[in-house]
Formats: sequence, C-alpha cells, structure tokens
Amino acid sequence: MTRSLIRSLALSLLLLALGACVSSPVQQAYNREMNSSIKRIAVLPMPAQNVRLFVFNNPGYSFGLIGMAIAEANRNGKENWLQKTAADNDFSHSVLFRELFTAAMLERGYELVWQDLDHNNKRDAAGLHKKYSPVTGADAQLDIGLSFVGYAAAGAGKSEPYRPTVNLSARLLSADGKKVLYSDMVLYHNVTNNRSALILEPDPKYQYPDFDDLEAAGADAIEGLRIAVNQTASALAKQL
Amino acid sequence: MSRAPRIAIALLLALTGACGSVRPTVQSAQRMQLDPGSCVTEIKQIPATALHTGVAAEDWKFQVFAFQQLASCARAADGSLVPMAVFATDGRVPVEIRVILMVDAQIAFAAAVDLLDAEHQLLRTIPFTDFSRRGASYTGSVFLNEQEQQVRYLVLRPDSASVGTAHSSTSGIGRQVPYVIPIPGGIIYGSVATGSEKILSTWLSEVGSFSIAAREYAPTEFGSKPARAKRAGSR
Repeated sequence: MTRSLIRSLALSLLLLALGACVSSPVQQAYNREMNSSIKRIAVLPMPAQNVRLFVFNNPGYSFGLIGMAIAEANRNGKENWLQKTAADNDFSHSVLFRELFTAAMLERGYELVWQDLDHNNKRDAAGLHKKYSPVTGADAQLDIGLSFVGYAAAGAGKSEPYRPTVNLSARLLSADGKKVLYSDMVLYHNVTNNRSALILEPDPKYQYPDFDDLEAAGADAIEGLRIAVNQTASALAKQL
Repeated sequence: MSRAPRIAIALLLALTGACGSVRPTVQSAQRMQLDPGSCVTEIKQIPATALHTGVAAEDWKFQVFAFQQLASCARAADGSLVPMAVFATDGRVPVEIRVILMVDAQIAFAAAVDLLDAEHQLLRTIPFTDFSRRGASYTGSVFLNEQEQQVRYLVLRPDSASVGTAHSSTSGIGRQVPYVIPIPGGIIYGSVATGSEKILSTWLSEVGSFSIAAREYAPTEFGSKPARAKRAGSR
C-alpha cells in the first residue's frame, strides 16, 4: 500500500514536472524528396503503458506531502476507474495506435516493421530513446514516445473539464541510428500550454466538467480516446 | 491598524498586481488597407528582401517582419489588389526555408507562399493549409532540392481561401494564487498552484507578424548540440 502510494506520488511528480515544462524534441521537418528512397521503416518498441488520468495544477499538490498524498489518493481511484473502463471496452491505445498509424503510413507509401525487442530501453522525459542501434531490413528507424494517453484537466474546477489527451513525440533516424531525419511533438489537447509542439484541438463532444460526468459517460469517454489516438496517428503520418 | 495586516495587504497587492491587464476579445479577421494608386503591375517591380542561407551546422537566424509593414501592393491580372512580400534566395540547394506565422492577440497572418524563378514565373504554391498549427504559431518548411534549384524568389501573400476563418484553441494555464494569513506577531504567506482553461479563437488575417530563415539542409547527427532559433533582425 505504502509502496504503491510512493510510486504513485513519484509518477505524479513526474507529470507535474512535465506540465511545468514539457520538453519538446528539437523540431526537424522531414525532407521527403531528399529521402525518397525511404519506404520501409522499422518502428522501435513502445513501452506498454496504461491510460492515465491527471489534473494539472491541482491545488492539493501545493500543501506539502500530506496534501499531495490526499490529492494522489483521490486521483488514483479515478484513474483506476478509467483503466478498468478502458479494459472493459477492449481499448488498448498502443494496439490501436499501431493499427491506425500502420494504415495511415501505408496510404502515404510506407511499410512499417514493428520491432518487439528493445535493445536500448532508456528513455527521456518525452518517451524517446536515449540512444540508438542500427536496424536491419529497413531504410530508417522511427522512435515514437507516447508519454500520456488518457483524460486530463487543466485545473480542479468545473470550468476545467476532463478532455481526451495524447502527448506524442517522434524521431525518424537513418537505419544506422546516427542521423536525425525528422523530429517533433504532437499534442492532442494542449493542457500544458506548450508553445512549440504541433497542436490538435480536442473534440468538444468529449468534455466532462466533473469526474462524475466522465464516469457517467462510460464507453462514450473511451470513444473520445479512440478519436484522440486516431487523430494523433494521422497527424504524425501527415508529417512524413 | 497593526503592522501585520498592513504588511499582509501590501504583500497581497504586490503578488496580485501582475494579473491585472485584460485584452479585449478579437471578433473578426483583420484585412489590409491598400492604396490602389501605389500598386505595381509586375512582381519584379517590388523590391526583394535578401534571404541569407545559413550553413547546416549553424543556428537558425530568423528575420522578423510585420507583413503589413513589409508588403507592397501588386495588381493581379484580374484587376484585384494583392499585398505581397518578396524574398530573394541565393539559388543554393538543398535548402530548408522555415516560415513561422506568429499568433498574436488572436490574429495570425494566413500566408500562402509562391515559389518563382528568375523571370518571376510561378513554379509552385504552398497554401496556408500546409502550415502546421503549433502552440503559438503556424509553421511551414519549404525544401528546395536539386529539382527546384531554379527557384529565386519567395512571395508571401494572404491566402484568400483561409483568410476570414477562425481556429479555436484550448489550452491549460497554470498560475500561483498567493495567500497571506495574519497571525499574532506576523504573517504566514505562500501560494497555491491552480489552473484554468482558456479557449481562444485565432482569426486568420491579411496582416500579422512572421519570421523567416533559410539554412542548408543536412540531417543532424543524433546527440549533436541542437541548433537554436535566433533573431537576425526585424522590420
């Protein structure tokens, strides 16, 4: 119980830090013409993660460890509900993203080869690998970090509703892992007020002023996440 | 009045003073006023601003402009008046030209970019819809590779298909709300983190600020020091 709370607090502190200054990877647009020989892309493994629920700028976190523990216990219960509802509705964002992104990239003339074995699994705050090894059987390698998929609110009040939120960072490298061909960040719902990332506006149909409203929406709320993942996958494919 | 409450009030005022200004909400796109008498009939009559190409390893050196101050008026073949800003490239390839259309006070310049050859003939147009929406701007990269080494001019002009429309943006704003509690013999003060949601419309307009820079294109080495954006100058 204590261990789980400490782990939860650590995760929340990480999210708070992310909220304060989400470090976007250095933006590099993709030069399609110069890289026209790239058709087959190895996608590096993405870490298995559950959906999350988070209230940014939660006043509870301002009242020391006790305030944080109370806020965190409250958030944890809500997040558990979201994770159970996602499972009940057969929603796995990593599976869905893989399916949708593969289709979107195929439309643009790319074949994706999804890797299963992660040789270098150390990642930065954006969810991207800290180092790369060469890949074989592909013209380039794509690193995707889905650092947050779930529901997030900008504050604790009713006028800061929970909205579907996706934070994605991506980096395309040469097959040897030495040259960066593309790098950017895509945010569906700019809850952290990031100034430089690509921004996708959240669908206003899926906004819930209170957790009770989110809970009442049930499967509909999960549909909001499906749309968010779909739009994020399309937006990334469009950049390549 | 005892000393502690007076200090408390002064501190509260000092802490909240920064949050006083409120900007009026913008309700429509801004159009550019053109004087027909000043319009030229050929693009070549418009003075071009030189676009210096930096080397790949250098930082981006952006030139910043207000379109309404830089633009000249040209009369199109159909008689319509078009404000435009012309930039001259040095013909080097491969080059990445980055254009950043800033969102400021709910206004953004909805630009289309025309690529012209040395004779000012149109080769290609990049519409505003090819720009990507970012937190505080719309950005676009134009790559000039071997196949486009005849490009000599870039013309920025309002994209009539996009001007007049508005984009909504939802973002979270974090802030610290100060508290001051007088206690016997002193005060307790601190701040509480709180957040609010802001939904703003950005009106795509014929005016607005933008920055532009050109740099030789070469993929960067992973792990090398990232190139940062710098302002080279402004008008």
